[in-house]
Amino acid sequence: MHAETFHTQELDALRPSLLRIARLHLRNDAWAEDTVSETLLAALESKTVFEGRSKLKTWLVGILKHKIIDCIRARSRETHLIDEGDEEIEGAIFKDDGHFRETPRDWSTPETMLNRVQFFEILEVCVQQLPAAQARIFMLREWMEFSTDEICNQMTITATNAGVLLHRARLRLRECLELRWFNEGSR
Amino acid sequence: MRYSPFLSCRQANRLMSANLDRELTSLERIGLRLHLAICDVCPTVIRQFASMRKFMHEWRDGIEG
Repeated sequence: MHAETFHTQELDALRPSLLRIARLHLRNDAWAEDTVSETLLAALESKTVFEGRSKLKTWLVGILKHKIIDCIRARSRETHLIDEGDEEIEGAIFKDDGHFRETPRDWSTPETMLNRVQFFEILEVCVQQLPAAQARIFMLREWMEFSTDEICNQMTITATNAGVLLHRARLRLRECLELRWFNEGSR
Repeated sequence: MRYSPFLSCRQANRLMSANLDRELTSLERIGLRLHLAICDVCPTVIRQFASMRKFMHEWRDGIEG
């Protein structure tokens, strides 16, 4: 076994990846930077030994996720606010009689490697464009894969509010992906 | 208000989303199933919702890996 200890530089090299994940979840640069700093500090203090960099990253991401949840819980007064004024997303998609304004189209899965890279770039842009409250809860559900119960406990919101936010996030994401990706006939 | 088992696409969409987060009540399940049987648009949306979940997981695994 050639276990090697990691060094501060190795940790620092992973900072951008961690920051990207934290920003997507928290939607607040200062909070994201704080959680990443706390994560790196915890890693340094633990002095755990790793074989290779990918295991180091997996371990750090695990710590980061706990820090993100701690942050959301601590800030739940600020983060759970229902995004008032976003009722228009349903109105933009459905007519008054409840029918779709535009017929949704079948999505094909991006096949080639290049297509996939481009597709995930678009997906990231679309997630970043979600209103913050929707984005936070959507990321907890779809990225962290928390249950609705767990989300309601962490964010101190009701199941009804959680359902409304998740639905709006999905409608917005669907619209964005259809507009920016699946609308192109060639794909 | 009297409950109608016939849902609009807008109502059906709320249930399709809820179905990804919690178990639907039997009344909700019947309403959604009935709607999907007679609607030629919403089955596409169900597949889109399922795809979005799959895309999110693939994207996450790429970034975390």
